[in-house]
Amino acid sequence: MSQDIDYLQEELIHELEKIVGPERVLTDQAEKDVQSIDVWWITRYWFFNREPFPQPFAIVFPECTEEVVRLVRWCNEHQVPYVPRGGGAGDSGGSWAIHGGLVIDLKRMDKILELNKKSLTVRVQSGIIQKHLEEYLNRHGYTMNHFPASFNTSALGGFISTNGTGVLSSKYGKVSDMVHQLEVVLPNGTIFKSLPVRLHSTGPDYSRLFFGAEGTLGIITEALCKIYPLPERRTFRSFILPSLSEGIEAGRKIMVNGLMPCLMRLYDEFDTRHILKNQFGLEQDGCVLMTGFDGLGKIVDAQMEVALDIMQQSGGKDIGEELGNTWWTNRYRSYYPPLDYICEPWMTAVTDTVAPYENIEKIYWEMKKAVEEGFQKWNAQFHAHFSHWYDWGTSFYPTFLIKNVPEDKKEALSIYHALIDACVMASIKNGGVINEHHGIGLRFGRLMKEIYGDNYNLALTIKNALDPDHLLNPGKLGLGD
Amino acid sequence: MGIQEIRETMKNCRFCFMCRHACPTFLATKLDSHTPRGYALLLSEIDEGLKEWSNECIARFYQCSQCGLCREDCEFHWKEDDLVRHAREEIVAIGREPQNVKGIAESVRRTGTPFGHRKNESIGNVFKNQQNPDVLYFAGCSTHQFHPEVVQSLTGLLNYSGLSWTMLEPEICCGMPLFDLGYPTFAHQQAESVAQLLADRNPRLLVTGCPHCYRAFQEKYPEWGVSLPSSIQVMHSTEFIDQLMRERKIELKSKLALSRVCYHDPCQLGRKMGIYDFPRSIIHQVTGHSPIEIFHNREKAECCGAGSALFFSDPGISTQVARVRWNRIQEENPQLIVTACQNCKTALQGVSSIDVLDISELIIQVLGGDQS
Repeated sequence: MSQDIDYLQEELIHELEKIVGPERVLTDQAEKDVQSIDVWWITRYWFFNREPFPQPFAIVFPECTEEVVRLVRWCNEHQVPYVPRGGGAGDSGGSWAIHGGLVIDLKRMDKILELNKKSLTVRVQSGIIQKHLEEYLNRHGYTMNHFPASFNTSALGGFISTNGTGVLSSKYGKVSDMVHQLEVVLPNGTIFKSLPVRLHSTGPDYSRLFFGAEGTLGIITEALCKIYPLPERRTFRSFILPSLSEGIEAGRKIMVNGLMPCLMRLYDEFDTRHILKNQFGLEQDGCVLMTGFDGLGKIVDAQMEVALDIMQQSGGKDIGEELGNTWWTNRYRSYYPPLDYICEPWMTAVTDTVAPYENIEKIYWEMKKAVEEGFQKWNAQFHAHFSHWYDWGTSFYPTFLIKNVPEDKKEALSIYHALIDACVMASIKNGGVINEHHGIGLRFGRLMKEIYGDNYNLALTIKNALDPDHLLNPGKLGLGD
Repeated sequence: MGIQEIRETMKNCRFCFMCRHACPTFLATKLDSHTPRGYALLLSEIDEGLKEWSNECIARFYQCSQCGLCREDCEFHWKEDDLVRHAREEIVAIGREPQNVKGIAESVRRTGTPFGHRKNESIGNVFKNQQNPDVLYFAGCSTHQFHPEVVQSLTGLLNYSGLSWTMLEPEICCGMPLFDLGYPTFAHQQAESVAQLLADRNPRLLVTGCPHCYRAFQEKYPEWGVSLPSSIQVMHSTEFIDQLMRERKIELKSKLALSRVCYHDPCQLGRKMGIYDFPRSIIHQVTGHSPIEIFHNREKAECCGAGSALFFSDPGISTQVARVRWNRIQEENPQLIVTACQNCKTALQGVSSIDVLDISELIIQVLGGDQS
C-alpha cells in the first residue's frame, strides 16, 4: 500500500469535486505557494527567510452563490476551517489560511448581473476585479468612481471586506457608501440578502456588519453598487502651502464650506519630494495640496472658483493644472516596482489614521516622532499624505520604512511589531482611529481589543453567534483563535 | 536576456499584482499561479533553492502564451515573457519539458517541421525552388498543416500580381517555436539552415503570412547572429498586400458587403512587431468600412490562446483563453472575424460561431475566388 496517499484527504477532495467539479478544485503546490504571499511585509519576510507558510489543503473556485452555500455547509459538516479569498492583495494577511483548511477563491464569481440606468446601479458578483467592472461601466457611459491603489488587482468583495477607499473618496466616499445591497453566505450555510435600499428605517441596516469584516462573519457573494454617469468634466489644481498646518486648514475650509472636491491630497514635505518631485516632475519643495472637482461643467467651475479663493486666503501658491493632470493620468505608477517598496526586503507598513480636524495634525506629528525618534537607531523614515477628506475631519496615509532590517529574525519582528504599536498608540491616544482599509487581518488584529476596549465584546458576541466554531477565516480581526 | 536581467525581473515582479487583470491565461483560469507575479515567484523559489521543479510548476510555465500583454500593461515594461522563456530553457536543460513539447522538438529534428514533413500540395511544382524570384513566399509550418486555404489565397494573390515567385521545397521550421519552447541552441541551428535555403533562392522579397516566422526573420535572426543576405527585404503578408494595392498590382473592382468586420490583432504581429495599420487599411479598402475595434485592441489586444505554441503545449488552456477572447469579440456583434495569423485563426475558429478569415482570404473573396 502506498504511503504517499492521504486517503482521508482524497475522500475530502472527491466530495469537493462533487460540489464544484474536478477542474475547480486545486491541490497543487504551485498555486498554494503563489497564494501564500500577499502585500504584507511579514509574508515577504517569511519568504526571504525561507520560513514555511501555513497553507490550505485545497483551493476551490465556486461560480455561483449556491456553490458557496454547499461549500460552507461542507466545511461545517467536516469542521474544516475556510478562508474566502478575492484578489488576495491585502497587506495584512487577511486571506492567509493560518489554520490550513480550505480556501474559497471567489475570482470566478465575476459576472455582471444587471445594469440599471434609471436608478444608477449595477448588480455584480463579488469576485470581479474592480478594473474589469469599471471598464464595463465606462463602456456604457458610467463609472463607480472607486479608484484605490489596488484598482487593477483586487476584487469588489475584497474592497467591501476591508471597507476600502479610493482616491476620489472625498466626494464619493468609502465602499460602504457605494453599495446599496449585499448578498452574503452566512457561516451556517444560509443566504442573507439585505434590503434593496440602504437608507431605510426598517430596523438596522444589517449589511453594515459585513463592511470591513474581512470575511470573518460571512462570504460576500453579490453586491448592488451605486454608479454615476461619466463626468462631463474633471479638473485638477495644485498649490504649495507654507506649511502642513496651513494645508490642513485650507483643506478643512474647502470641506466645511460645502464644496465637494472629488480629489483632495495634501502631501507632507517628504512625500512631496518622494512622490511628486521624484515621480511626477514637480520642481518645488514644500507641502502640496492637490484638489479636483468633477461633474457638470458649470458646477465644477463654480466650485473651483470658491476653492481658489480659499487657497489664496490660506497663502497657497497656485502651481496650475499640470501636476494634477499628470498625477491623475499616472496615479498607479507609484505602485509598480521599482517605485513601490514591495520589491525590496525593507521593513515597511502603512498605518492609515482618521480623526476629527482638531486632532489630526497632532496625531501626524506624534506618529512621526514615535517612528523617527523611537526607532532612530534603525534610521526609520516616516512620510505621509492626507488623501481622504470629510466635513468633520480627514485621514492620512503614513508609511514607515526601515531599510537596514536587523539580521536577527526575532529582533526584526520585534521592531516591526513595536513600530505598528507605536503608530497605533500615537493615533488612539490623541483621538484618532486606525483606518486600515488595506486590511486589519493579522497585522492589526492583535490590537483590536486595545483600540476598542471592552466595546469589542460586541464583535466577539456577534462572531460567536454567527460562527460558533470559528471556522470562517479564523484568527483575523482579533476575533480569537 | 542574461541571468542578471532575469533576476532583476524576478525581483520586481514576484510580489507585484498590478498586471494580473490583463493576463489572458489568468482571465481564463483565475489562478494566481497563471499571473506574471506567479511565474516570477515560482521561478525565484527555484532560483533561490527553496523549491525543486515540480510537474505542476513545469506545467504552469508551458501554459503562458508569452503574448507580452503584461509587459505592455506594466508601467516599467518588465520582460515577463522573457522570464517565462528563460524558465523553459531551464526546464529543457534538465530534460523535464512536457512530453508534447518534447514531441515538437523531436519532430523538427527528424523532419524539419513540428508536424512531420509534408509537401506543398496546394501549389504546382513549377513554382517551387525557383532562383532569383521577385518573391519567396514562406508560408510557415502551421499554415501548411492547418490552413492550406491561406496558402492558396496568398499564392493566388501572387499569381494575380504578376510577380515572379517561389516557395521552398521542403519548407522547414524557422526556429521560432523552438526558441519559445526553451530550445535556443536548436532554434539557432534551425535558423542557420533556413537562412541558407533562402540565400540559395535569393529572392528580392521574402513574404510570410506567419507573424512568428516574420518576427524570426526580422528580429530574432539578427539577434541570434544569423544573417539573411542584405538584398532580401522581409515583409509580412499584410504589408505586402497593402503595397500591392497601393501600387495597383491588385485592383478591387467591387467591395464586399460587410459592414461589421472585427480585426483581431495577433500578439506577435501587433504588440511584438508593431504592425497594426496595414490590416486595418486592407479591411477598409475591401469592405468600405473601417474594422470594428474590439474593446481591447492594438497593443492592448488579448491573446487568442495560440501564442507561443500554447495550442500544442496545452490545448485545454489554449481553448479556455480563446473563449475569453471570443467573448470579447462577440460584444461587438461582428459579421466576420479577420486576423493575420494562422494560429489565431485556428484558435478562434475553434470557439467562435462565425467565420474567421486570414487577411489574404478576404482579398481573394473580393477578387473572385481562386486565382491559381
